[in-house]
Amino acid sequence: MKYIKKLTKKQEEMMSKWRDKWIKIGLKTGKADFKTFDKNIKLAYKKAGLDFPSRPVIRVHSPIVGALASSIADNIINNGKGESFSAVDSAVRSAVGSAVSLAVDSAVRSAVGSAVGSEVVSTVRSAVDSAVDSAVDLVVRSAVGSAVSSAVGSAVSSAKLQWHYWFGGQFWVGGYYWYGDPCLTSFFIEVCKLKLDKDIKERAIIYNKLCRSVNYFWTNKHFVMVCDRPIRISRNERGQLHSTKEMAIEYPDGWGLYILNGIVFEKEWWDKIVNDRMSPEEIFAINNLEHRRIAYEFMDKTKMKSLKGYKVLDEVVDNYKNPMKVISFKVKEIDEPLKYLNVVCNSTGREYFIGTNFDTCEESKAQSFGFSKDDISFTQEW
Amino acid sequence: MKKQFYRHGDLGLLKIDKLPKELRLTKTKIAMVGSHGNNHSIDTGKLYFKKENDFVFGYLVAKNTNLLHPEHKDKTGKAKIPDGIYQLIKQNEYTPQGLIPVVD
Repeated sequence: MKYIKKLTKKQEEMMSKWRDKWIKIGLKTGKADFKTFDKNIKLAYKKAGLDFPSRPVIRVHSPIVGALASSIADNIINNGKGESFSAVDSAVRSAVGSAVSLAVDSAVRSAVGSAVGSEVVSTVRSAVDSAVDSAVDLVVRSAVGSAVSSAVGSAVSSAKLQWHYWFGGQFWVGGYYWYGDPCLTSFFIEVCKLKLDKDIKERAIIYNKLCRSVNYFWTNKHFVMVCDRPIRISRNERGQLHSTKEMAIEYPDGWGLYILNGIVFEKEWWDKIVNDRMSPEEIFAINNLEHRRIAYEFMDKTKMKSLKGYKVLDEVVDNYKNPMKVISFKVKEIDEPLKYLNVVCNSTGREYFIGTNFDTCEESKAQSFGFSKDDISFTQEW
Repeated sequence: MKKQFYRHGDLGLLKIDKLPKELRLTKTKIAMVGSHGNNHSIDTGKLYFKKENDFVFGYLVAKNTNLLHPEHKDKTGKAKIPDGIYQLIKQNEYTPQGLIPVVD
């Protein structure tokens, strides 16, 4: 085994190119490469020592359809065979998913990790991890994939279905927990010329091709489902999903998400916010703090003057030189004025309004964590 | 004397002297789940969950611990907290219907 003790200057220079290359793959839109997927998913089952399902690979055109269909199909198969079969089958199904994962990516990851060399693994690996792997993961999975998986996860749990585990495909090229990360392994194999056992290298190539060819996919003893790529991924300058014109991410069947600066909205709300059709009263009545913040950002601020009895009760500068205020105003059907602590987050620069029952900034802030201002000192804030 | 308090977005950490008894250590590194996939996590350290009231939901034993959150590090870098024991506190806001956890 040839160990990698140190990266050469050329290899170090390749890290940013590798990062950009894999971000491009992770955010790819348009038609999926189903032909490559079909070929490699069979090889993955073979590596796992499992029979490939007799049915052809089922193609879906959005992750919501795939997640619901795979969960429903799994449910029907289990329920149709009685409880004892259900338990066994469930174990087999889970085992299939795990076995495929273990066969094609976990084995690759541990092999690559150990091949890098134990005494320098933290130096080399963490350098590549932060410059390539984490950077790709942040841009692709955290900023884009997580919005989709969160929305799909909510839909599946609302339908009271048992979750069917999936692979993130292109959204997992930068890794996901213990799943192998093609951008990292390919860097060591292709750029650093890491020599691996033939079998491990084959597994790495299989997982690499699976991830870069499609969006999500679901593996099962009875079926394999695979999802097409999104037709659009729109992002703002910070890399967050964002569009004021249409769905920020949309799949070929029309399913997608309306998103403003990384925050997902129902279409009706998104439409009202981007067209500034919400009154300040409506905005301040929004329960979700992030939704409230985004709606306020899009609101014409001169509307604040329309609030009945609008007052600034206290105004100070916080420890990070950001303005902090307590405002109050009256709304219909509530006798007492509503009060909000208006703060700017020192790490994101975002402006928030947090409901309070106190008149001063310091007391409002401390009380929002259950203390009086005399009890605690904000030592550091992020 | 005021107690040392650290704030990581809507997560508060109050420095305390010792852990309460009968806590169960958890395996997760996610201290507090946020919506939109934005969790407050730690890289190292030990987490214990125990809901004490509307605010306190657990404890952290920090040792070389960085607080992680996808949205709270652009300007400040990693949020490293001093080694020690902390009470984990969720921020709440006042509404006409009463106190509710900040939902983000």
